[in-house]
Amino acid sequence: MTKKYGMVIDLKRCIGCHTCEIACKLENDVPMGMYWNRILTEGGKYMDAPKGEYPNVQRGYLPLACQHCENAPCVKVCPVAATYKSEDGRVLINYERCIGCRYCMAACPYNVRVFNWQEPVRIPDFDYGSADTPKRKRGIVEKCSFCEQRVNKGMQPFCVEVCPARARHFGDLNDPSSEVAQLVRTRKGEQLLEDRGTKPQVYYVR
Amino acid sequence: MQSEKESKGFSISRRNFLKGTAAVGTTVGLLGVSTYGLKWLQPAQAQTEAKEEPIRSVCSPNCWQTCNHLVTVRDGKVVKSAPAPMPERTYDRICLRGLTHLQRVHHPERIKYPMKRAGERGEGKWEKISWEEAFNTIAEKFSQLRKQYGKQSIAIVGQSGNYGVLNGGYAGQYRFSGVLEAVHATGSVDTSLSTGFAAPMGTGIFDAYSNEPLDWVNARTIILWGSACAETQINEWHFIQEAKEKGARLVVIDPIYTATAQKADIWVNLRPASDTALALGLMREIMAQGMVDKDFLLHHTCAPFLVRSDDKQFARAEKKPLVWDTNSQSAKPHDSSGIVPELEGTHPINGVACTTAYSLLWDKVKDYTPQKVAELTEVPASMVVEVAHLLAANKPGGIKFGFGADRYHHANLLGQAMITLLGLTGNMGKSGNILGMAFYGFDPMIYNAGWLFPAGTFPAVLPLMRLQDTVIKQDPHPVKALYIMCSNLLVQTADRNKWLKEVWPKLEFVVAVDQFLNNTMDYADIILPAAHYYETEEPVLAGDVPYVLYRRQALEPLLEAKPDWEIYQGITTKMGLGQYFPEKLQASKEWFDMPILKQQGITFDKIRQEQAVRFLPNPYIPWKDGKFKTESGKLEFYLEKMAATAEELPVFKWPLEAGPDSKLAGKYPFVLLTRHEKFRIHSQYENQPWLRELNPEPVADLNPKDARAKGIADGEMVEVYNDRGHVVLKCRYNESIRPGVVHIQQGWWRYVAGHHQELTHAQFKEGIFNYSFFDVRVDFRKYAGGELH
Amino acid sequence: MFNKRYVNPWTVILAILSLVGLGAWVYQLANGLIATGMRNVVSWGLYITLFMFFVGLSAGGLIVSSSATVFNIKQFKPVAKPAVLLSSTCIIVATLLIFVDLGRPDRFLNLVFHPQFNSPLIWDVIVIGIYLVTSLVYLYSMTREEPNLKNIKVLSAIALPVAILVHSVTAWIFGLQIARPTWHSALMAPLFVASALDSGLALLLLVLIGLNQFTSFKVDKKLISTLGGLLAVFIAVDVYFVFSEILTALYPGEEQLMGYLTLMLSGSLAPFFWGEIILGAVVPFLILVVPKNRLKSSLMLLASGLVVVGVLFKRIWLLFSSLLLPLIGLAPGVTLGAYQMPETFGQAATPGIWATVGSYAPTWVELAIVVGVCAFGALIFTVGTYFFLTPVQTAEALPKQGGAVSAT
Repeated sequence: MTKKYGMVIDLKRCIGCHTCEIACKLENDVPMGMYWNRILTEGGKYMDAPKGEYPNVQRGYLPLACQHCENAPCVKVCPVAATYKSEDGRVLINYERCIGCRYCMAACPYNVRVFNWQEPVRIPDFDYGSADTPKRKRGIVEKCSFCEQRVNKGMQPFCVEVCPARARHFGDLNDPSSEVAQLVRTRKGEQLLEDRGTKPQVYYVR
Repeated sequence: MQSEKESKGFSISRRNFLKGTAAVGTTVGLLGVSTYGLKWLQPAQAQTEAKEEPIRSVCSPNCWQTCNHLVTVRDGKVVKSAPAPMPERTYDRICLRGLTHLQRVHHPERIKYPMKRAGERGEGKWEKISWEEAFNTIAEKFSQLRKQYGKQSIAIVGQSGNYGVLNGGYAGQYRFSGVLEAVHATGSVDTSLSTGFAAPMGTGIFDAYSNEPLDWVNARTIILWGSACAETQINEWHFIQEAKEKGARLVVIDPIYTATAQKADIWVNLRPASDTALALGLMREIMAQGMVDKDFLLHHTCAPFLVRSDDKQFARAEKKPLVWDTNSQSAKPHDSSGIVPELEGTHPINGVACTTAYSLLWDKVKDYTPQKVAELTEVPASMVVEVAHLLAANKPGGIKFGFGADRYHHANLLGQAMITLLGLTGNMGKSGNILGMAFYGFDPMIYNAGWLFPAGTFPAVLPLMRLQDTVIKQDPHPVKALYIMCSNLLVQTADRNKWLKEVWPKLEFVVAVDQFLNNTMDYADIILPAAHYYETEEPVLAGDVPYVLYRRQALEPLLEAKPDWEIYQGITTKMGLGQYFPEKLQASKEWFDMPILKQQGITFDKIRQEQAVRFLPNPYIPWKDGKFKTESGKLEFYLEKMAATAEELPVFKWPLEAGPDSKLAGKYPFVLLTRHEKFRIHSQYENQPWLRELNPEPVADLNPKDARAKGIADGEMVEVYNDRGHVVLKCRYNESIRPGVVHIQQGWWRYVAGHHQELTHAQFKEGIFNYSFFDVRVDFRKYAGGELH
Repeated sequence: MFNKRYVNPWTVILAILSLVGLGAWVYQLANGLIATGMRNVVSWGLYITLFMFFVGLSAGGLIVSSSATVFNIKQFKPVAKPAVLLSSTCIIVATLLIFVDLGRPDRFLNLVFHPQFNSPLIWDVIVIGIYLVTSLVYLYSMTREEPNLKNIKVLSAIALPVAILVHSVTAWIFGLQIARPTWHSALMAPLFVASALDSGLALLLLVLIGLNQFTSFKVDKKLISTLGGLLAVFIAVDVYFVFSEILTALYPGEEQLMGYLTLMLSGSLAPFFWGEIILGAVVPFLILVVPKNRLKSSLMLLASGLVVVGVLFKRIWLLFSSLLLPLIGLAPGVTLGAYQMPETFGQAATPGIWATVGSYAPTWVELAIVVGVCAFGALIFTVGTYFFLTPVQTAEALPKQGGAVSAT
């Protein structure tokens, strides 16, 4: 069977520390002003603010990046097939082909795609991260690629490697013995906005 | 600079353009598209697949997680930090802050070269000088002051900015101050709670007294007391989480609903500064219900020791504390064989009534019924009972403290209460116990006195918080000059206005060493650019990992930065003391010349090769034999030395300001908590661009009820103030915050006006020189603008 | 002679505005789309709004003109030529608006070299291509000295469904998106066609009145009145669809959808929504239902103008209602994608990069480009008028061709 790469994020473990968020930025040479991977607060109006009234309060964290949907709306709408579904189930972008129409951004229910509105600003002012991270320029869309440059070499995405809470898992959802498949099965993995039918390959367990 | 960048960009695009035109025709180029395009027409870039060998370094600020990093350097630039594999992979670690190091190394605002002040202090005008001039100036000034006022006219000021041995604020800095015989002003932070906690064990305050984190997963009950570990010591969290997944119950004691409290089974949202009352209540409940570990108490603690009613000291025979042997119905030395000591009771010995320490403890705690504790702490009585029962019955377990609870005037009593509590429940020495904090780099290591003081001369060690009065009164030392390193002194110590208005005018000379122009630098006379962690090679004092650590140099110091060690070399050479600062490898090698390593055959070569070498048993579980480092070898929660101040046993006292009994409570109804957050370690990383994206500006977190009562809308500017000073910042409604509390993250360098450290005070408890940063009352009002001070 | 005819204050102004727009576009190219008011939450803005609008204007005009031939509605035939010219112009404007919206216009040809046929945008490229060619051929056929009526009949038979399709496909660009609650509706295509009909016809009326006023091309007032009556019908149909759409969304009271509807009905988009309903539909409808009014040029101008503006408002609330609110609107939100380097990182506050709710206002660059593109369209139309509607040599021939058109 072909591979279907996917991720499982354990929300019980997630502490909202943003380490994966920064790691993504570092590894993937993501410029200032944008993140591929964001840690959202399930709670109040601000980052880290809870809902409810003290002391009856509640808060959770939701790490959000590309869901690598099986039924990916962004892939369907891309007029030039710059966004495509790889054979192993990842939603990837051919940055050399993207025309910058941003239709994929309108099509994505998760708002995980970011556009290079300006000449990318990097601090420090050079390309960081892995040497083989695809380079992006102004005028195109980018997003989480499950660290394609690492996964292609058999490594884990960097966010999975660094997660201090060990809350992130990556692997082949089609392999029933894989950690991710087992977690989805045993802990009843949930998909985000399941009602949209996009069939995300990122699962959340609570 | 900018135009240079642009023109460079243009020249590249010109090449692209020329390549592109053949295929596409000129139109596209003429339209100006070529300025950023046509890459798809270029030949594929030569693949620079040269194998990148990352270098292993250590990130070593005062979260004391001492994460080992693999640092990738490409074309002389740090391009990546990643977690390095540790001997036990469960200690592989990095955090959001550590991942941003490339921004510290290559920060656009890094101090480029040594500078001297060109305007008034605080004005921010600087003039570039050479290192030669800097060394000469400092050496001359130091020599002149030493001649004029004595050697202790110079104070070396250090805090926790770096755990490096050569270049950090702990080992090499002592060597520097020792050689100069200067005043060494340090500490005063995190030391009160740990003093009370460590004393009964007879250890140093930062000793290796707790089980190591990898064993915490065996705990059944974990109490995080004033610890936002999931934010501040992120890499300790997963051990607790794993324990939870194995069935452990987690209690988090914190007035604020932190990310850590969010994970708790029981969140004890107590009133600020009431912690010790809670601890006494827990003890009372455990004792009243007979849930104590009697065997442990009798044989491994001072519980049966007889205390004389006259001088409050242990009754002794042949210098040994006596216990009441129920077999012989007589007082016997506690370590006599064949005795059955009595836990509770009073007996006359030589005409003096003597009572067991346990009975005395009961006397102290018996009034702290759950109901009374509920009144004091505003925590439900049932919760007090529940937590007590968990700790006593759901064993093994332990208490991991954070320093939130350390920030009040009588925090030592809380530390003492915590260790007593753990003694009562007999959790020590067992797998699954947590004793306060995991810390393995200091007390087992730092006693390398030969290395620290090679000249046989010593510094005059001064608790940092006494420095203000020392300078102002020129007593006990005539301090005229400060040499500040590993510290953003004016952000990380209290009573900023006193520093600036009373201390600074008395200082003839201030040298400050850092990577950035933070607001301590603003007030220096000479500024020296320090090297970054990655730019140095040295041993590193481990924090919560049981290893000897060593960092390799990933790159040469950028710009004109120098490691502290080389700065010491430069200054001392000019003063004729250079022989004490040998080449760094030699100095590193000498550092490791200590018995604990020699016994295990751990050589310098091995350490330098492997860079993380375990030197404690695996798993490290101290106190297995039930023998403590006290004179009696038992856990002496009854502190004889403290009898003079009636603090021989833990007692509850409201602190100076934060308690409801404070005289200031009417005028300043709010307690100011300035806790650590995940975006900084103290004031380090404050100016990191990525972290600033996540956390762009200081805010005063207020409970919406409190803010609304003053007619302050969410997001409005507020002025938080008290008699000592003020700070102006945006207010943010936040239901995490307990009503009656104003919360500001600590570590912010600058505000619209004022500073949170203007609000804090530097009053200390005699013998316990510790900043009480949270023991502060304030009020706040809408900020109408107007004069910024 | 050539120059004299074409160079006049009107064309000069249009040419200057076109050049200003071109200059603004060059500025946008040099700086990137950061020069616009678009960011990551609201990632489409004025360009796409006007793209929708102009496709509608184009389709509407063509539907009217080609139905004249297809259904042999004789009285409409005189307006066929200006209608087709207008349609062609509008579709060129629409295409230009897509072009200026691209982040990488240099890769425009990827649409041709690497088409991905699942994408409604590719459908649109194809349909617009066919449409443009059809319109131009149609226009050419009609304006030949001896038009081949059979060809015209065939062409109009193609043009009518293509015109309906072109606007339907444009609707489907939005309507097929599961991610966007206010777009995702089966009614989107009929709704677009309905508003194409009213806005297209309204624009045609404006143009006809203008031609009557300023050129030798004259249209009978009766015809204008008839078209005005038709416009009233179209308005009613459009409003009916809008009502049906809103009612369907509103009735269940589903929480998330209500968020979007609130934006439209009482939030930041309310001026556009109610503006469309009241100014763009109710008022012109009330004017147009009274036959007397339809004979007054001023009232016809007002009514038609209001309809055009009303439909523009509709494009605005339609596009932004979905874009403003991310489906997952948790704090701190979406990264906007713009970064302003602070003067120093040591200061109290550094610039924010997050938003949980979108916001959008066009910048002067966008406005200049849009004005330029529109001016360019007007210029094409004007020149086309000179060529096709009022050619110098064949001024006398006009009545022959034009049926009811008066020669004076």
